[in-house]
Amino acid sequence: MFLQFIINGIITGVLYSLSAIGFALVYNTTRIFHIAVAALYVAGAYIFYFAFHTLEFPLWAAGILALLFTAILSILTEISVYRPLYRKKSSLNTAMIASIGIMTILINGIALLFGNETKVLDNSIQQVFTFGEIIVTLPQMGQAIIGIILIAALFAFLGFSNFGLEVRALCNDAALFEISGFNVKTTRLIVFALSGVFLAAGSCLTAYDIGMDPHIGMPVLINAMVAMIIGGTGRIRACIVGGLLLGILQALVVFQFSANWQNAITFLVLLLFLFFKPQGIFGSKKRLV
Amino acid sequence: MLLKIKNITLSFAKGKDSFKILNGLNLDVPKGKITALIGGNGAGKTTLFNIISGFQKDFSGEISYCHCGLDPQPPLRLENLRADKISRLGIGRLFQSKGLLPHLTLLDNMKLCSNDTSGEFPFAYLFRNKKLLAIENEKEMKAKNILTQLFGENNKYLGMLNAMGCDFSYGEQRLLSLAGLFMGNYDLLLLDEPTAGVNPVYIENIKDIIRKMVAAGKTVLLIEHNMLFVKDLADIVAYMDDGQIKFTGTPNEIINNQEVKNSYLGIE
Repeated sequence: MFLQFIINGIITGVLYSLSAIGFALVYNTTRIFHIAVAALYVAGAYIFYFAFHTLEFPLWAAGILALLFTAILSILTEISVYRPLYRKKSSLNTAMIASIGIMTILINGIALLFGNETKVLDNSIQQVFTFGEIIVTLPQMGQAIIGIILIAALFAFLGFSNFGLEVRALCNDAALFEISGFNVKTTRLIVFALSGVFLAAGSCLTAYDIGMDPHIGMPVLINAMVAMIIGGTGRIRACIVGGLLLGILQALVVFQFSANWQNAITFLVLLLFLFFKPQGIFGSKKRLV
Repeated sequence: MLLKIKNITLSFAKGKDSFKILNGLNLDVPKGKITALIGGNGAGKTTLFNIISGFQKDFSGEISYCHCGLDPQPPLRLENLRADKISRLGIGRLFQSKGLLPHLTLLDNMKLCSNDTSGEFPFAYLFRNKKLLAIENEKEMKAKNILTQLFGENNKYLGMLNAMGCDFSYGEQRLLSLAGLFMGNYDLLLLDEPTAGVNPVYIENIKDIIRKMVAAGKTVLLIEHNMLFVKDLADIVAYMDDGQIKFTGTPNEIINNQEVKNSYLGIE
């Protein structure tokens, strides 16, 4: 039973990692507290639902459409809101307030179009795989495999391309990045597109398993943010460790106490990290001034 | 002239509170020389650097840059170009308050300074892997050569290529940022107070580095308050006050100018 909860926790952790990467790509590069992540996550799930249910696309095609559309939506938030604010040298607080605005508009728009009730993609009994005492459902298997493939692809992309170095450089200092001859606008656009892809991947994989409503985004944003902070801001690999840790911890809370305690434990862990290891697991001590 | 700056005017604020940071500024920067820009705090020196390097817009006036190359080309106007494009034209800059990128290694910092954008397309590695790897190796070799030339054989920085930018002291970061400018294909270097906050031993190193830059065919425009440094190094000094270039001449001419003595150097 204990092992079953650990496996469930790992799979949930992979999903948290995907969302945390979606949030961290933008936060680490631009320092914008990208609250609109919650809305993009919801949008991804609903596009998936619309393509699969209404347009009757095959599942894989609906998934790809959701990834593309969310990437485009993410790019549009950058072009229409964040870029003009960046050009005007607005503060990051202003960008965060604008982000809340984007989230509110998008979520209300989705609720208006699709209604507030929970939508389910597939309510048939799912196939299960049994490994000794451990049972994994087909959607869980898909979540783990697709999630791990996407994360590995991102690592290869950021680790073996100059683009990865550029993203880290932009995250360090935009002026030094630009004076070295690199285009801030283009780099930010690609980062926003990647963020959209990872958010949509997380939301589609989750929505296929447990369905969706227009308000699923905020808890995901909170988990993503906590995963990023406990892993250590500024590092993408930290999101994975943070996400897995959070997923396993929440599963153990369910195992030991009840699901009602999940959020309380999430924030307790966040507070403990902020007090005792604010730089996160992967963070290191640095010059303070 | 490598750079011609004509009638640059820039105001901050509007209406009654409007004040001119630069007020019809004219400056010529000759090729292959060291031109020092001196002047009191708030004279507009760094603002002028921001304008040349594309970080400050909304000004009036013209900036013409004679893009160096084998073929003679008409001067390029820089007013409407972005900072990254200006850098790619061959104008590098050392900032007054910035050193290395703090969370990148020294080697990565050096590589980024090369203003070479091979592999910038995110999927480039999938298509031209070997060629790009060769370019990366070349960059690493070049970085090591530059560090060896500047700081000698077996200098400590060769063993610190994987140390993070923030692990170096402020003075070292300034030195290494200057070294990074050798990586790029720059013709004009804008150096904003290269000796600020740097100890005397390092100042001598900085002088050597700048001399080597000019010997390598680069042109230097520098802002500096250290007059001994300026006197030792500069070919031309431009004195800036009230948003204008008031006097231009050799270091001795400017240092002995009565107005410069009174209003900037504080010598009766």
